[in-house]
Amino acid sequence: MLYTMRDVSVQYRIGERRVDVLRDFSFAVEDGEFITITGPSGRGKTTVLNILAGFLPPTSGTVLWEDNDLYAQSDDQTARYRNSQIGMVHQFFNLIPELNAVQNVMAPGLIGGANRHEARRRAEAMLDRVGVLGRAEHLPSEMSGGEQQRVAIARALMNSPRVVLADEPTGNLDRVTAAEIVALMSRLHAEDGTTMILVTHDPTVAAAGTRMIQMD
Amino acid sequence: MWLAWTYLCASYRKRSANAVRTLVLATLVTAGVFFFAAVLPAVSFKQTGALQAAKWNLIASSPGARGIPDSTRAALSGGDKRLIVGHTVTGDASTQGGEPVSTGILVLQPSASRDLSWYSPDLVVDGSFNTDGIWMDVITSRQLGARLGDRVTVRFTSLVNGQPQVTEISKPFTALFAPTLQTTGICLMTELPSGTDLAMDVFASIPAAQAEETASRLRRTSEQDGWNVSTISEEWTAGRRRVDEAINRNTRFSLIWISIAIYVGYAWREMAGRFRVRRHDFAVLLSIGAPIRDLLGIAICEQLIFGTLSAVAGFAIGAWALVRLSHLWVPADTYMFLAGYVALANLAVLVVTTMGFSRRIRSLPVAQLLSEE
Repeated sequence: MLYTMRDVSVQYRIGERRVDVLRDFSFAVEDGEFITITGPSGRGKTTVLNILAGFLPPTSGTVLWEDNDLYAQSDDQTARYRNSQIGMVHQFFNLIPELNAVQNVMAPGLIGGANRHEARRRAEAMLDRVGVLGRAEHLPSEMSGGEQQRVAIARALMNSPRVVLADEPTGNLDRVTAAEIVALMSRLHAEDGTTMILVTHDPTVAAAGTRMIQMD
Repeated sequence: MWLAWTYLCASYRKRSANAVRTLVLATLVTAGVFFFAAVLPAVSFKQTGALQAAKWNLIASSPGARGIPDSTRAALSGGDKRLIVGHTVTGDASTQGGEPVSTGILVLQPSASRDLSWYSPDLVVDGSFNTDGIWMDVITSRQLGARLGDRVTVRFTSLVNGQPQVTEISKPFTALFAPTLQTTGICLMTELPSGTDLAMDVFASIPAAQAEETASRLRRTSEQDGWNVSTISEEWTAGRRRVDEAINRNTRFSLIWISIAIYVGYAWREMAGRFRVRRHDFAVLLSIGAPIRDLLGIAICEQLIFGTLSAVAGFAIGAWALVRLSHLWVPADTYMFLAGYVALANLAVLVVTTMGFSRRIRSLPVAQLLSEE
């Protein structure tokens, strides 16, 4: 089992008021699955993803990564986990605007210890794979939304992670481009067997997964 | 490190105006701190009255005055005395035409109208100036455009009964010094019945070896022209040490509060500003697995570059401003001390910046930032 979440709750305090963002949520993820998490806004879909990424310690419950407590790790272990085990794709792409496409994709490789030439070689291969090699030297501001999302996917895959966590990856794209991105992610999942956990409120996108989790 | 370098290069390529602004501000702050760090000790120096403890380094006296020691010292320390304070030049007596010197001469630099009285607030001067002519060294005369025979007016500030008083003398330019022995510093001149003693405290403007050389030149000259020279006294050495201690104490005191008030405050503000514009980038870097130390590497790398450039430029500008604006004379070892201070202050800023960055990075709301457009 890659992930196991048991009775996970997340609460915020706003003044005296307690807000339950997630309550007693449990689920498990097998290696190689393509899971889509769907449901209306405010049901905690993104919260689940943030918990899995190690950004949001739950108020209660257990989160296991390969049977180890994800939140019992040191800062360095968490950083290594994010760098080598997971890749993240966001709704607003989250590319670093100062870096061009290839530099954005190289970044996880460099952080992981690859030398500059090796990182560049792998980044270019990854950009080629997602179909935007021609944009390698372009800044994010010089690319369309679809192209930026492809670069973001290339960055997520740069270190060959075991899991890709995607938060509304098509939420900021037009319908045609969204379909292309979903097709791309499905293809990459099929080719590499990378586990995909994709959050979306779009039923069409949700249908691309091999398992759907509905959060009501 | 390559990531930090690439990120910073790309960041400042896009925001080159920011880089220039940051560098200019950092340079001006460094220069300002340097300038005030040099000026304030001088003011403190005045307040301590340390000058009087300095005694005299190099003393030349005219015929009739048997060296300086007792009579001059007595005149300088109280009683009936005539002292004039200002910048001075002194020179090779052999160019004085072989005439015995009956009066000392004070030749001010072109910027002589500045008020130097604060150098020595406790000295009392009667303000009169008894001399037949003005002597200048070659360089000063060239700067003034004065030729032998010209009438030259010299204005200087002296102290009369503790009050600053501007004095002007207008005399013919009668003698030209060779520049070889020229040195500048605070000149204290006293006219005694036995003749005029020219006491010149070079105030560390020349190293001891050079002072010795100057003294021996004066000695050789005095053999020809009848000058008496006494030189580097033990008392002066002791006095000089007391002055150094006073300067260092006051310098350090001044530097401490200035650095706290300006340097750290400025660095903190800059750090907070730089962090604010990079919060999102840092959140992204954390999300792709950058350890906190890599992000700190960006801050350290940036601070090292800007700190080094601004320290070098600020030191140069500060030193230039010191000379051009205040006309203060600062000993070489003080420059060394200030250079060390600037380096130390930058190190302190580096530590403060790194700590500030570290604290902010650890409390960064990564999930929230990643979901923002």
